[in-house]
Amino acid sequence: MPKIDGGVALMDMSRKAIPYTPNEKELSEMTIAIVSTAGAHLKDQEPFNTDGDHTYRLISGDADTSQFTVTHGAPKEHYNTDEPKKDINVIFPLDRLRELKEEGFIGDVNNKHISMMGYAMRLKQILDETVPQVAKEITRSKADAVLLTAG
Amino acid sequence: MVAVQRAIEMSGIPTVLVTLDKEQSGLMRPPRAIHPVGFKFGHSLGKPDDAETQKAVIKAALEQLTLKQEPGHIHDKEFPTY
Repeated sequence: MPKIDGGVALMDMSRKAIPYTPNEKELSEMTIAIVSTAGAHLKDQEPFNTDGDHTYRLISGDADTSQFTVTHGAPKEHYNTDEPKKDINVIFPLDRLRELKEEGFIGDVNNKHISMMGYAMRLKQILDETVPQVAKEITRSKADAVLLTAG
Repeated sequence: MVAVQRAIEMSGIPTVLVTLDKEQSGLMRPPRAIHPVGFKFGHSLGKPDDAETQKAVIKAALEQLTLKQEPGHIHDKEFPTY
């Protein structure tokens, strides 16, 4: 057992302890939400600031997938946003979830979804403000589980 | 990304991550994750307009919610249709 000496050991311990919520439900009964850090947003929403952005965009469950674009600060060689711009389902798969609902593979598509820009450079703000807000958005919704994509 | 995942998981909602950067995500120890092997950055769930592969990746990810996990372990998955 390491001696707990200020924050470092505590941080280390918290990294070793992985939060894990068991799931007893069948997928066919579950409502699924998307949370993505790949920079997707609707064209009429404010784009992400590519110099750094800790905000998130709420995406409604009935959003039209033809009305999306992608704004992301990562260098193009790391993440070429031209690809998801052609078909947002590559990073924000609302159409695919709707099809999986039709097939009975999942129970429902959540009424709201969350999009962020991962390459944000504002880690402290993200951890202190954005992450708890996003968790609250999800827990206050009907979501039984979350699918995360990271660009 | 995993910071968001862990916070949601901590608030009692199970999560699964699809990551193309296994090394980076692995450092953060995600509760549940799959890694589609050989996908290019920008193709998280497959290529544009390849609904078949996209759906296969999503199904493989969501199926992890019904399987016993060793949290922190990222499952490599092959998708031949990619």
